[in-house]
Amino acid sequence: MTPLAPAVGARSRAFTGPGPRVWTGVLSVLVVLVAWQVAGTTGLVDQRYFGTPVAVLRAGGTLVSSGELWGAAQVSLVEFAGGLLLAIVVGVPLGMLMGWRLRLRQTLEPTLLALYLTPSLALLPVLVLALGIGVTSKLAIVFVEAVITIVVNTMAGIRETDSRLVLAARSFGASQTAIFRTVLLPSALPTIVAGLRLGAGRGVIAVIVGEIYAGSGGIGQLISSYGQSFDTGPLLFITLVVAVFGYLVGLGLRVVQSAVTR
Amino acid sequence: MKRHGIPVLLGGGFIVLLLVLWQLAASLGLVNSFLTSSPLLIVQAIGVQARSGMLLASLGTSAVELALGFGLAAVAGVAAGLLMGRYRWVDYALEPYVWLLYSAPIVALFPLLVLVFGLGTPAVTAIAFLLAVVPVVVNACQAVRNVDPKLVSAAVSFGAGETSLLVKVILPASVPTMMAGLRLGLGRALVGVVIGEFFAGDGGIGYDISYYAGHLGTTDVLAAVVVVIVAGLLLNGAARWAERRADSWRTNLNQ
Repeated sequence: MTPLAPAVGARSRAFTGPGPRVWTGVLSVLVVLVAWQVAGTTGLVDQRYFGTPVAVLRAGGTLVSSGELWGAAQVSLVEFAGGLLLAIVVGVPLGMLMGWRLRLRQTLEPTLLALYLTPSLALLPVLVLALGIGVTSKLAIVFVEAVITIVVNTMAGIRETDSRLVLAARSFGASQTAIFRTVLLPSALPTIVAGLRLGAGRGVIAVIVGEIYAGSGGIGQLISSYGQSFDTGPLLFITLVVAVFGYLVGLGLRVVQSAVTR
Repeated sequence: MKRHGIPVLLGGGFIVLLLVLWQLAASLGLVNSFLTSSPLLIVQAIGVQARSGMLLASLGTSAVELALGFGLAAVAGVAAGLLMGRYRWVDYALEPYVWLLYSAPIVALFPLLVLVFGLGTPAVTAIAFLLAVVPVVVNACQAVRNVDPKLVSAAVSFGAGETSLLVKVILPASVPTMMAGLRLGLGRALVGVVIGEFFAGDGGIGYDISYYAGHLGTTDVLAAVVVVIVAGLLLNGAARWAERRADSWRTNLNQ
């Protein structure tokens, strides 16, 4: 509870291996897995619908060894990475300009905020109608989901810059470009990366939902076809893989975020 | 008055400009209005849907799902968050499930949820609950951690037991951060209702969107999307208002 607590915990973990946090977490997950397995094998819950951890693992093994999972993952990864990249290329400069230029911000902010506060995934059917069921509509939904968060955070990052720093730089005769490069950008970078992290998280969900809704391939379509035949093992395994992927992307960007935070 | 004039003019003007350009492009035949619709067509469609009573029925279905899903998420989330914030081992034990819920595409599980709870309102409510509960738990837990330890030790010195400590000191002191989590949860619950209805609904505004999309009715799709956007903005406004109200009784003791 005291500010010292995390540091002490981290030190004891370094010397004595995983601390109570890891052990309690592992134990808690094991208890649930064992209870699930027992409930499934004793027929307490219907195995066909709820599967068992062993069945999920077995289904996962088949999915991986047959190459089915990797084939679908490639489609989804391209859609996810493409949409996210597009969102970064558009969102970061736009957010910077909006944070920097008052009139531009006043012009675009209401529209942006409306999109930010509403469930933009509701636009999915519109995008599918307009762009078809192929890769393009998935790129578009990832872009839409990610770009709004990225713009909002980038703008906030620029605006949160200590105005005294900008003033000081200006008094020493720094040009606009120099102020932007040496003051605004470094100070805004952590918030920008936080925006990328949130945007990437939304993008992962968006590509899966998009593919389930109207898939022409990809992980989402795999989910959709196993789901429709109530094939629980593969369904749960794939869902878990997506969750781990989303978690790792978030973790990676969190590391970047703390690296650029000074 | 003058200070607020320019932002409103610029922000509102931009939206009006977009709408006018869209309408002109459709009216002048620059784009095929069957595919792109137009603002006027959408307004007419909302009128038709409203008069037929369909819009109200759909909004009713979605509102029930939203209220149930969010209500359950609020109760369960605050309770779990309180315990996680107060007791370390509860936090450690539940943490893996919180991040699993946060990272997993919940919607992927809709076939199972339909099987367990039933098609329509029950399954959609479950999806909304699972989406909404995460920010509520995380913020409630954080809120409890941030409670001024002096408040807790003062209450303990005056002989407060664990239950009254939780209910009378920690819960009220955590309200502001908790409310922020509830507002985020409400937004996610709305996403859950709309997306849930795409896949597992038998009515409601999200179901309408996907139904019209299946019949290539761009105008009707966009009309329903506009309704969702307006609902989202109204809900956010209401949540912000509640957030301010919930904090208004607090006085600053340091002054």
